[in-house]
Amino acid sequence: MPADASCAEIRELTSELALGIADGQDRARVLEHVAVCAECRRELDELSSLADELLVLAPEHEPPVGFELRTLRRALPKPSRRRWRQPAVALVAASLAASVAAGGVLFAVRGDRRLASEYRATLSQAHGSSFRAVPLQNAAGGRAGTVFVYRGSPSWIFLTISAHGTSSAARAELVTRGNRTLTLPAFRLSSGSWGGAIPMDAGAVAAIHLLDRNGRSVLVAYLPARW
Amino acid sequence: MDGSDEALLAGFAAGDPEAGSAFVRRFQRRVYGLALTILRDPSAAEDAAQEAFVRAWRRAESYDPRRGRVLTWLLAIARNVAIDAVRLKRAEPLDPVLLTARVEANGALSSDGAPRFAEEQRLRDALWALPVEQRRAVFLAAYLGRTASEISSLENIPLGTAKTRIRSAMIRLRAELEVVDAR
Repeated sequence: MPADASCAEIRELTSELALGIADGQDRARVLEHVAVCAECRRELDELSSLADELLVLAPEHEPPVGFELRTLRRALPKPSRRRWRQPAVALVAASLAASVAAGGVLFAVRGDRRLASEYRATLSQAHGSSFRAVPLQNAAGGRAGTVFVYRGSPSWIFLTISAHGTSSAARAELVTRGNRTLTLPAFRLSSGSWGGAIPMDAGAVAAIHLLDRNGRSVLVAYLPARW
Repeated sequence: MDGSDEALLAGFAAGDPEAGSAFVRRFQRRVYGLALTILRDPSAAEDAAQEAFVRAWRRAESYDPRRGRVLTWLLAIARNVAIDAVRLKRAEPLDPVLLTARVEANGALSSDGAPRFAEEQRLRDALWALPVEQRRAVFLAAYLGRTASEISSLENIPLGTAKTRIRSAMIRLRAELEVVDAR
């Protein structure tokens, strides 16, 4: 224990340090002391945990619609996407290598060609360029259903909510890549599903929000940036 | 996407968009709510809450599960971002009475109607058992990062009294929670 600071003196300061409001000099004294005093270190750890828990008591508040999307755009810039893709490329390569080893390449290519041909024919029937399925997530981030999005003329969406998903969705809004919000007036859930044309190119849609009667986003689906 | 808080944080840190959106959705009401409590301005609160998630993404490797939950780690980041924003704007200090009233108004149910964790309720009960001046002092320090010297000026009390209120409140809260743990 440092000779210039007793445990009693240090414990006068630990609460302020735990709350993050101690000045530099006091902070240095406490840290120097707890480096060699297990009892005071334990007290500091306990008070720090307590200070953190106090923040949990703050009122929760629903952020504005589109908050998640704007946050992810800010938090996940392009370099991180490259970082994420690396394992995906490795997985594809590993998968391809396994197919070669099994002698199944010809079969796989034939199957893929047939699937691609059917997909193209389906899209051409309705002047479409792409068709996607994306997960519908609840407030806890859990999967609550699926949104199918057709990009064509017109673009349309069809969504289903799983049996254990929420049925409180009363309104649907599209958030565009330009952060505009567009309400879908025809939206009405029937047996946990809804489908309809949307008055814009689906490629411009960034997210689909389902809101409850109080305007709180209860379910959301995100569309990829390019598809 | 389902998963533990830690798993979602790991996915978020790795740049997985699905894990990232699940992580943000799981914690956004807490993070935005805290930022709004501190900043009182929805636009500034959104900016601070977003910045908190960005910092969480950058600093995910520093998260140590032995030192606390993901939620408290994330809220501590949000609190620091919001306090920095208050200082940058040189905003008027939030009235301590208003601050305690806001947190007090936060009832026994969370925003989605679910009962709060028992530990959270115990802490809330212990907090409201404190003398009002100690409660104000601990709120000003924990939520607004006010130093003992600033609390002394705000409350018009000697510095020693401000320090004593902070310390007494923290020690009493810890003792209350320990007593419940020991039962």
